[in-house]
Amino acid sequence: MNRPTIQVGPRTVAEMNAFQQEVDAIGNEVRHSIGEQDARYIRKVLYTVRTTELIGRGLLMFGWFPPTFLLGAFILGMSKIIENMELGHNVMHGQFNWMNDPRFQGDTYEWDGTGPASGWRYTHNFVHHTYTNVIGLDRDFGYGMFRLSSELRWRWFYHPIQFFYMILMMMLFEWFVSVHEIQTDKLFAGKRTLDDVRPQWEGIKRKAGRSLRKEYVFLPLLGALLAWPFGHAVDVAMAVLTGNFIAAVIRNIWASAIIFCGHFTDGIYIFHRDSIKNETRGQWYLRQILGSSNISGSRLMHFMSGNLSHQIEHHLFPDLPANRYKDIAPQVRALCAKYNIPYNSGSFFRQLGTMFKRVIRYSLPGGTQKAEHLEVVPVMPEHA
Amino acid sequence: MAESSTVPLPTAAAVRLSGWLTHLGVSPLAFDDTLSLINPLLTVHRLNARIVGRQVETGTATTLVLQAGPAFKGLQPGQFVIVGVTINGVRHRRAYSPRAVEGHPNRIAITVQRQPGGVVSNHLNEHTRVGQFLEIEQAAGSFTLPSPLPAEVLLIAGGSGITPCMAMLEHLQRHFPRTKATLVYFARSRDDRIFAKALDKLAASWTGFQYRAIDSVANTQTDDSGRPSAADAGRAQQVLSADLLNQLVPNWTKVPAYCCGPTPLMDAARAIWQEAAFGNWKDGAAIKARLHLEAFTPPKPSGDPHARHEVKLTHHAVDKAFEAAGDQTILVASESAGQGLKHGCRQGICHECTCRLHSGSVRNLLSGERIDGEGQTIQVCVSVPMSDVHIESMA
Repeated sequence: MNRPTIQVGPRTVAEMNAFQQEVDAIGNEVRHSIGEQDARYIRKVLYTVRTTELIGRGLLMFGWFPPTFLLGAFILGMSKIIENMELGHNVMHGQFNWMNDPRFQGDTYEWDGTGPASGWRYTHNFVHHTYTNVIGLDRDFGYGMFRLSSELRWRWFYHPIQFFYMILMMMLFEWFVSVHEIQTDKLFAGKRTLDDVRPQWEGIKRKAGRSLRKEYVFLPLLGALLAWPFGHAVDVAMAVLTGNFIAAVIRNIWASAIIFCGHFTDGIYIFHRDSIKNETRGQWYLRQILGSSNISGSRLMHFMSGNLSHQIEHHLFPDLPANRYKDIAPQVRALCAKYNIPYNSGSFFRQLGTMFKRVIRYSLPGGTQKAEHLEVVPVMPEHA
Repeated sequence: MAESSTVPLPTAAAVRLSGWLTHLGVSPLAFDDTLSLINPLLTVHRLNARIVGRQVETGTATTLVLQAGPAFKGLQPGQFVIVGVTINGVRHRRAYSPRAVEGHPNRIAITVQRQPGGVVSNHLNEHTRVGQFLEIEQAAGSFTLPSPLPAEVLLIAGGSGITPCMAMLEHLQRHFPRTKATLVYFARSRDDRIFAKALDKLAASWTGFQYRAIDSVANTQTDDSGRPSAADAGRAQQVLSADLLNQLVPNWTKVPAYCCGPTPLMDAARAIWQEAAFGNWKDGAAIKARLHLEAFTPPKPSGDPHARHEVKLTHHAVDKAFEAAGDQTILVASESAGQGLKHGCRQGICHECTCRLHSGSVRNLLSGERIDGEGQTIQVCVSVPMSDVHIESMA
């Protein structure tokens, strides 16, 4: 059997087993108490999404008048954030499948934005959550575009400006999510052909087309129709179109910032692909903790991040209802202290700062963080 | 009225509108949610019904009168309706055989017999109040009277299996009282007999109706091993037999017969008709075809890890089938049969292999829990079958 090398976390096989059982116990305790309160929570989230969307879109119908326009775009942006993160992300993980309610079933839920849910479920639920932070397997570590550790070869023709295209990517994040499953970098490198990605491409076209038609054709036309009697048809149509775009950008920037803070911060561990051969469940738990970072903050912060501020708890138990992560966080933290496992948590701006620092550092060649294979034990984190 | 009706114009228009909105990403479910803010009965995809009446039938059975909305297409007597109830956050679905309530469009009555340990039946008996809403689906099922109606029918009911038979009897009495109908109704005692008074009244007022109530548990009550339970073994029990049928309906092999009840009763009926068909080389097949059976309890999971079960897989309305051993996950079984299901991590993390379990039971290897199919999601990579199952892949 693999014997974990002493470096971080449980030191012996026996300790690793005990660690696994303790993590299991935390999850099972929650699993047995799932019920009405969680159902009520997610229904409340759904109605929050529906009402904020209605209010935001309603306000935008008043045209360019600054108070309604700005408030409308802002509220619609908030609605899209809650829909994508607290509702869509969590439901599509199957967190609420136990309710047996077709509105909250992970395999058929379709979210707002230009990316089809089916492709995202594959790249996120399976690839990212199973192979978290394993270089070469977890495509969410850098999305095949960013150099975030010295493991990746430095390319002079795009890595030096990666900070700038990251900002651009954050603004248009939904588009990158939608083409993520195609693995465009492999397409350019000739490892995949256009025929390989045809089915995915058709799905993306369908979903993106539907989203564009709704946001930039149908709703502006509806606004124009309503404003026609008042002689402001063109104004209102343009205001609706612009407001919808601003709301989408608000959502894109916020969602990507939260997501990057979950895995690209300072002190994050990365793993060699040999590390996961014959990995036990305990080792998998350990890797999830070491590969994720939390954001500390208020209840509003947790809600608006879809509880991804509890990234560590989410990665340990991706299918537990997200409203429970805050309850188990102290237990997970205590367990980490007991087994000497670093528990990476910090304020939003601290995590965001170290994330950008990493992006800028690795836009230049070199760097110290290596993912080496030491049985299942990861490499030491870099403190740049 | 009992016959299927077409939906009114505003409802049809709402369905059309919902179809258009789907192209803009407004899901049918969101459309329904919005309509239900006005009135839960207005929904067009996920139907609701308001409880408008409640009546205790026996110590263990309650009748609920449900008012459905305009999108409900009515029901044929004998059909079932799936009722959804949310208990502790979980939506459960159960099939009941309702009777149409005369004089009110889209009003139906279901009679719910308490099952020992039954989550839904006990909840409906204890915790439902007039004014509450239940979720319902359109009526379905082929346990219905033939068209055109025959001159004579034979109904055999056991316990709460009376409910579809009662729907047929009321329909016949109201609209075709010249039909001859015979009902053989097994129940433990008169106190346990649902509709005892209504049936007596029916027998008194309808000349074409022959009613035989039999106090017997030989065909209805069993212990876990399938034998009559010990408490009842001492009593002389009348069972369903060819003799009994000869005595009541001499030409019983020639009339359409409907049997609904527990498994032993239906097994007995099946055996009797099979024997009659076997002795008749000329139209044996026709005799067998005249017997209609309706199960109202799901089959019990065998729990035998070595048994092989049939897995029926529906994918985009195409049915396939393969076999799975009781110690094999459904995912592995599908792959050995060359019909691999979509999946991801194979260890119960990612939910990529989610399928719907429509019938049968599986055991979740991670939690050890038994899941009885009622359309809920399961992860096939960590589920082993405990009986024949029907799953659907939505991917």
